[in-house]
Amino acid sequence: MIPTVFMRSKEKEVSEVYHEESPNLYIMQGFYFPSMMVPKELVEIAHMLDLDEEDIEMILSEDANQEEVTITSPVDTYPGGRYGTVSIKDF
Amino acid sequence: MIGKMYGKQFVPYQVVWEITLKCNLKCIHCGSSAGRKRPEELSTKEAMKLCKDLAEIGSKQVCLMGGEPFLRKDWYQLGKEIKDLGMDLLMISNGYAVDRDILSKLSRLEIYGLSFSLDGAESSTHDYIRGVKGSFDRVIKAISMSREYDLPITVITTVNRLNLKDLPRLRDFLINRDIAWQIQVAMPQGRFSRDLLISKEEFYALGLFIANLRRKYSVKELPVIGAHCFGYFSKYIPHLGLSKQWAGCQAGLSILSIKSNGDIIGCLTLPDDFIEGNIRDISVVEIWESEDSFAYNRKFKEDTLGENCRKCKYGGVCRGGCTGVSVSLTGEPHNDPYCFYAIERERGF
Repeated sequence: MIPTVFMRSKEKEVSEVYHEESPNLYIMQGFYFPSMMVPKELVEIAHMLDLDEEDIEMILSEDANQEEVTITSPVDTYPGGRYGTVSIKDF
Repeated sequence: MIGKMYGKQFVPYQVVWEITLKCNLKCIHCGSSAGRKRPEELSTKEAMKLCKDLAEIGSKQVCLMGGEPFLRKDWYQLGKEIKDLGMDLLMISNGYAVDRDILSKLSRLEIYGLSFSLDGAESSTHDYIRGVKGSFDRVIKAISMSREYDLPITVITTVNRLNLKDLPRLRDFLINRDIAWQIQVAMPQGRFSRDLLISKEEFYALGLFIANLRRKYSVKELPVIGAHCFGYFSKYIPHLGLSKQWAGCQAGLSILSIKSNGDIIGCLTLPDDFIEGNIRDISVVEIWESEDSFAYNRKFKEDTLGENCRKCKYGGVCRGGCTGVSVSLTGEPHNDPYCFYAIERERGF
């Protein structure tokens, strides 16, 4: 398996994206992944961290869905500053 | 706008207090260059008064750190005062001098969180980073003893190029031990050399690593977070903290920090230019409530975003990532280049 970054289109059909955006896109399980986009160093480091291709794919295929960002409530617990700590009781 | 987000008044829910700069280790990544105590550190009387003031302005949690906080002789007195005033007590230690007497006292105080710094999976890595031979064995022993006292333990790992490779073995060590894990990135401040800073690729891979841990293991098996230096608004990597989403740096908004000489600053990662005042000149209550304090966050405007963040669609919410990282790497706030989203854009992800 080639280490990849998935590209997913919400608006377009598979074939449209494939032809419009790049001739080098691979199609798998409904996702697009231009394999050349992930730097080799990143994959090497990921391996060093015990991440295999499947792990990388799994994370990168999960849309973090950050498009709509609204934060309106008070932040009354926000642990984890670099000079601070989270407690196990916070989980 | 920020005021609306957090209500009419800012509240320092979390306080991070360096009670002494004295330290028994010589960590190569120490952003505070700890070792000797600061000239004119607060007296017990001054520190006790400060505890009362923190309660008055609504603080809920106070984290005592150093240097090495257990080297300050009145740490227990301060911890007890914090508890008696109804605030949660947390402490961060290197574990080197932790013994049963200390742990017994922490148990009596019903400490909310006890954190140990663990920067390697073996003595060669940890001891090199910590600058003292034997520090690995000591902290492992401290963690083990703390578990006997049923204390709520966190391990903090500060990542640089030397210990990145140790993370999988640290993971194996921490799984199913009822220990939380906070992972953060060493930044070029204090004694830390820029040569050992992880690259952006390493930073992104580290984000994938933490995200993968959170996907693979339940909170019971391995409660893990990436500290505030990880983010922001990645297309792929979920938020790695405990809040639902990154809400911007909280220095001066809901977090307050104190140096051992009474200087007040939004976050201890920030340089002295960001000191708002000293409690010997003006009380922490007045500093916190002053309209002019913490202006970089309280009066933030999008046009103050730096070059790295100016065109980002999340800039207004994110406010440019971690202020400490931003200042450390670029010399200015609201410009954090170690950003997942920015890396994705640069790389065309």
